[in-house]
Amino acid sequence: MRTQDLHERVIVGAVFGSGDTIRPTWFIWQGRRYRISDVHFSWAHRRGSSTFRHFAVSDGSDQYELVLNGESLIWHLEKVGDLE
Amino acid sequence: MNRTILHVDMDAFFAAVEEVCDPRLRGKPIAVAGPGQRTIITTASYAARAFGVRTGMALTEGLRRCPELLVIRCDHRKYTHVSARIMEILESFTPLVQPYSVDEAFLDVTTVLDRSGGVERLGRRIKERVKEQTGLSCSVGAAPNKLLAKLVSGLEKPDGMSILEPGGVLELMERTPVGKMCGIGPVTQLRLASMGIETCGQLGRFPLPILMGKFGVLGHTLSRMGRGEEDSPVLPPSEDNGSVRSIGHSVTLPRDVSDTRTVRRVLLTLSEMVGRRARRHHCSGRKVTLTVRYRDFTTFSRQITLPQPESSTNRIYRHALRILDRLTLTEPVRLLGISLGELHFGVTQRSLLPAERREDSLQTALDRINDRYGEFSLTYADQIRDLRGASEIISPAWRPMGVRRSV
Repeated sequence: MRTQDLHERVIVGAVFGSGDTIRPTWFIWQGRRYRISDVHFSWAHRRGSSTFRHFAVSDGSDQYELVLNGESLIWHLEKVGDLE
Repeated sequence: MNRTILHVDMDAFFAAVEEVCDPRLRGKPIAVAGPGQRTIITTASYAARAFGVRTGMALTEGLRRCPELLVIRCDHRKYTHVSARIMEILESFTPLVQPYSVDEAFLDVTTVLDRSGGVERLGRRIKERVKEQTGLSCSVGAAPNKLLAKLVSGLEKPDGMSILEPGGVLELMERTPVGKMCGIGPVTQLRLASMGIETCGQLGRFPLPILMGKFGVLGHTLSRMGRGEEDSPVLPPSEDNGSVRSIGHSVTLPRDVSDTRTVRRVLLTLSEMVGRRARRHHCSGRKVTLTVRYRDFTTFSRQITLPQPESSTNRIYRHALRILDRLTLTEPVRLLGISLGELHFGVTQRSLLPAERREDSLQTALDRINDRYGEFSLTYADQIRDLRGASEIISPAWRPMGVRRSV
């Protein structure tokens, strides 16, 4: 298992649904667009007064962790992992 | 009235959460471990356990037993979030839920059984609801008390459901090794074995005066445990603050250290973590305890009693240094810990000394900034290099809310 910690700012397309549901659907990282095929899990943590929403997503081959800062609405790609 | 207590225990919790986050991991041998070279395995998946990989094992040993072991770095924020969610689910069945650790809880379901269709049906519904809402499986044990509920929840893991009726207690005790009981550790187990006691049945029948002669008042508790007797209530966190006796943090250092400057720096970080948690919950303590573990695992604690309760980082730190200054560290240090005991909850007397009042004002300003921007956003310059990984382990005392929520 190789997991790389990145914390790189990314552009994310997401659907903000009813209630507080958020579903990221694609992201652009280093100039390349990745289509999200699955959102496996999401969780949140607080740092100070900000809530950070984490999403474990997949593009069908690799696994990514996207994080949304609920205060600034800035997205980061936190981790990328593969099984090799 | 016979009580019915459930013990809900998540199956290989951290590993299972990682499998939900990345379904490609399912069925593979995985180990969740902390960062650093000398980390231990905090959870192994059932596939890894088949290779002999165990919780608490050094990662190097785990990799030796299972070279294809996939190692996932522990992410406590993820696990505590899921744990809090699980506790919410459990509270939808009864308000009497006592989180026992990050991945297990006791439920007193005595008064809700009638309208829930019986204990088996209720247990199955809990398992289904947890699975449906988190994707995780758990094992449930039902018994007349917490001690037995915890014992039977482990009988059919993973994804098990075991019910112990009051009439079956003595028979189960007869064949249960004493080491299976929660609260009987390896040392007690050895002492009991030296007295010819191997099973709970033997323990329960053993003459009480001899047990008390060997173990003191604990002998009485052991005797009752041997008969499967225990009557402590299920205490929800809101009623549990009274049982919080201390607030503490400890850290295993990335490498063994001998220089006192590094030790002092780590103690300042720990003092801030302890003080911050105390202040957040409006409590202060009269006893500061410093714990040191050498590289050979020799561990000792020294404490100091303060003239009045304290929660200020600086003053906790200064008292910890007073203890340290009286010690001669004879070996490199592996672990350091600080705890604050003899806790007082509620408003405390403000210091009348101008210097301490200035210090308190500075502390309040620091707390406000860190409340707004997060822990250690503003801190002592010396601490910065020690912060990474300072809270990578979830303490067994962690609770989803209240004073014990430490991460």
